[in-house]
Amino acid sequence: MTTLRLYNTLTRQQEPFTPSRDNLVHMYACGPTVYARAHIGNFRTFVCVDVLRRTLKYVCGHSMLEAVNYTDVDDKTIAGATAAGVPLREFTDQWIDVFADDSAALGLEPPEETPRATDEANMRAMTELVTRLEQAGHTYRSDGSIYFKIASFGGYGKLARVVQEGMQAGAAWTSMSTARRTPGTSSCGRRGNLESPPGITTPGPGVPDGTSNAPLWRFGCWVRRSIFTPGAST
Amino acid sequence: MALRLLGAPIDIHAGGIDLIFPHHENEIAQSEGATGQPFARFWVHVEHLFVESAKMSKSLGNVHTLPDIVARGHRPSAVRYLLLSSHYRKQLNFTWAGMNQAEESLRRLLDFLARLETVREPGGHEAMRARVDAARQQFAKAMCDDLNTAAGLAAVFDLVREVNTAIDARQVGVDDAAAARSALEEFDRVLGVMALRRKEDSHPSVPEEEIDRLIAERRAARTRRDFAGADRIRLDLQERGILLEDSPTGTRWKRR
Repeated sequence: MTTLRLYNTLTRQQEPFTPSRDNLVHMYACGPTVYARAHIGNFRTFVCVDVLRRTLKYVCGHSMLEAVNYTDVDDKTIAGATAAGVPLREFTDQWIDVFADDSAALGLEPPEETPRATDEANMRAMTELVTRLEQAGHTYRSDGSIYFKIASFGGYGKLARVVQEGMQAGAAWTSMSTARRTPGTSSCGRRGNLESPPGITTPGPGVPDGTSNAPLWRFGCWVRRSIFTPGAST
Repeated sequence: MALRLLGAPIDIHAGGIDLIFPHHENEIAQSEGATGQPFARFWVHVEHLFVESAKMSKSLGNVHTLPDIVARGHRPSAVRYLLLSSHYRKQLNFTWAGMNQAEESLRRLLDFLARLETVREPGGHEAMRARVDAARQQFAKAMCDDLNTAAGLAAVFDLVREVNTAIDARQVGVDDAAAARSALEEFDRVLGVMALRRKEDSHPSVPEEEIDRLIAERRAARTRRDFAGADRIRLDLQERGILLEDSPTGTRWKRR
């Protein structure tokens, strides 16, 4: 069997790769946000990840358990569904189909799992995770949303090599419009954008300020599209 | 949901380079903060794609989708070829000239496969067998060197060139041709371009009866001097991967 030497962004160097559990590679790739057709810049990533998958299978002889998620709830998908006057799920279904068509046309091997953020089991898992973060003291609540206290996690910045001290207040650069911007935080469970996404009900515990049906849909892959107040980085 | 489906630690977490921060950084913080366990062992990030040296943006009108490129006369298999042909950690510049080169490279591979079918000399040659084995090793070595697809493709094309030369010199037997074909199939399990093109060839994008009907409709439109209508039919077919060619003897169609 041949061993793949793979560049690891975490360590900034090539390392020999072997799966940690038997011969089965557990791989996760961030999939598309399904509010429009993916462009070829997006597909460069998916084709390269497919080449990685095929190399692991056919050159290195590993088996694969790969999950590629669909981000089917966020500001853009909600705006699209609202503009089209259809339920969110119906709106994202069509873009998932389009993505699957393009993926097949580009010869991408289908991953074993294609979870959607709004799948009930995933909503539940996200809710549970937020609860665990709260219990571990990593969060605080403000303005109907739950935020992650970056200072409470010592390893913050190890992947991107950013330093916490450089983060500036108020420099939110996502499309967040309703949540309060607080320095040194990223959102966990975010209160719905004025109202819940159309067609989505949340299993979450919500927040204690009267908006108890507020979805925690900001919490994607583990977190998805977190709001954050970055500013200076390394 | 990554942990729900895969369990910790995830062996490889992959995505576009723009996701490193804050998205992936936050994933680590929030999952490791909750579980106290390492989240992912390897983080793999694919570099940006530029279009004609510019960042893709709506205002520049250069945000291409797959159907946009197909409408320009290219096939998805060539798009795949172009997207994987340079190393994933280097920026890739998408150009129409590059698309044409990708088409040409892919055509050479398929021409080579077709040419192997024409070899008739019985038996094989030790030197050829060794050459094919060396190409196999070079390809595997390149892919295991952090997915060096550019070096992998170089190994493929070196083999193609040398076997072509050997066929010219009548130094290739049917056994050698079979070995070369099986090596190319092995490479293509990873590259996924040749099988894709063959699949495209075997499935015309529009059923033939429909093409014939549309050609007749277009002829009728021209007869009644509805040139705009005739052009619409031609462009519609072109968008769906079928090119019409007018000649004194009538209209022929071909796959793009």
